[in-house]
Amino acid sequence: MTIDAIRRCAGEVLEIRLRIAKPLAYRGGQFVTLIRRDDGLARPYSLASPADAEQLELHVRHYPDGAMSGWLASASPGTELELRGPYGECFYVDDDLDRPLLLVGTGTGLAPLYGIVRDALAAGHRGSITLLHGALRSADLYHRDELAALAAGHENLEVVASALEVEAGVDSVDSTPIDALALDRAALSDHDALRVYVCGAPALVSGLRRRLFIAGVPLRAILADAFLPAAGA
Amino acid sequence: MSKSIYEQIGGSAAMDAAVDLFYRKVLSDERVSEFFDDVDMERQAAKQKGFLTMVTGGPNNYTGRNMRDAHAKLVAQGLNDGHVDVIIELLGETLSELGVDAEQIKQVAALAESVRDDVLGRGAAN
Ligand SMILES: Cc1cc2nc3c(=O)[nH]c(=O)nc-3n(C[C@H](O)[C@H](O)[C@H](O)COP(=O)(O)OP(=O)(O)OC[C@H]3O[C@@H](n4cnc5c(N)ncnc54)[C@H](O)[C@@H]3O)c2cc1C
Ligand code: HEM
Repeated sequence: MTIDAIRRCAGEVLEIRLRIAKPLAYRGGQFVTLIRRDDGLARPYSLASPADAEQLELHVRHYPDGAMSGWLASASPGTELELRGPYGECFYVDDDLDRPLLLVGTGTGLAPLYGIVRDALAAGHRGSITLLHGALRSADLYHRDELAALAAGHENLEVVASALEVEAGVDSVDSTPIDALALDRAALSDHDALRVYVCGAPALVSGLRRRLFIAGVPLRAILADAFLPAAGA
Repeated sequence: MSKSIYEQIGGSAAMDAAVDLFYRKVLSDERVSEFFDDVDMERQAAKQKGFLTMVTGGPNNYTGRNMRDAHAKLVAQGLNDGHVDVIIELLGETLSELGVDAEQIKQVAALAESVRDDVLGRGAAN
């Protein structure tokens, strides 16, 4: 597998495109393990590309002292990597095209959601789709144009950006915490039909899952991926 | 032989619905919620299903010793008779919301009562 392109986005996020040697059967929102050839360093990353796309898209938050993300930030196109997977249950299922979907993510938690929402739209999902993307500062919200364009083309898709600190001059960013927004949205939906996806910071994922469940969303209807740091990191 | 309450309310599938109801009550009740502070909610839900299957007379392999072992850590954290009372109360509410009648709920409560000493680690291990 080869790195095709790396683009720096807002919020210290690297958008990485990978070319795969042989086709990979996967769903947007699943994750793969990237393995560095030199020393076998391995980290899981979620697939932001829609199902079975030949070019994989990843969103990697760049931590300056991060072993994998630091290395990826300085890698150049043409670099070869190994890949394992796909893994995980966090993906779109077309069992009911009319159910409401609620997608909630912080930071690069958007990556799996971006894959999931595109799979849902491609499947002709008719129910309402609400995507909530949160960050600490509004300047860290990346992919805003891509999401706005997607929403403009689909009447049933609403994208809401949330940040605790909203810089002056930035419009259309909600300063309500993302978990409060998510609980509000869930309360407006039919709990028995709703399906929720929560991805990103482990504290958000476990806290929100619990509160959504207590609020009446069935446990099975909440699909989640917590971006747990690698052991020993 | 009469059917178990487990069979009467619909077996395994009904248990899944019951687990959500029961587990939600337990997490929302401050008298007992701290004992269920497991971040792995799926794992915890599977155990609640074990609990509900057992007390409704469904297929299970739990023994008194299992019940001691499963709750030993909780007893060390202060699990007492009051907590067992709360669990039996929430169990009753859950079953009543599922349409189980009062007489049957009494039987379920009696089944739960029968392992009270094991759950609380009292008396001789069997
Ligand atoms: C199922 C799953 C899916 C994932 N998907 C993605 C994804 O799509 N995009 C993505 O960016 N990440 C994702 N992650 C996290 C990713 O696997 C790595 O943990 C992350 O990229 C950090 O790895 P690293 O080698 O760069 O940093 P490491 O060398 O592992 O950590 C070094 C230092 O980086 C900093 N750091 C690392 N992680 C964090 C953190 N979460 N918060 C604050 N500081 C941190 C700390 O200072 C840490 O000491 C996912 C994790 C899981 C389990
Ligand atoms: C009323 C009698 C009770 C019965 C019959 C009972 C039964 C069970 C059963 C069958 C399990 C699953 C064990 C397993 O599969 O590993 C279990 C686990 C558990 N029970 Fe109970 N229980 C009772 C009372 C209580 C009470 C009063 C509390 C706390 C308030 C409690 C808290 C727990 C917890 C937290 C677990 C999971 C333990 C773990 O994670 O290992 N139980 N119980």
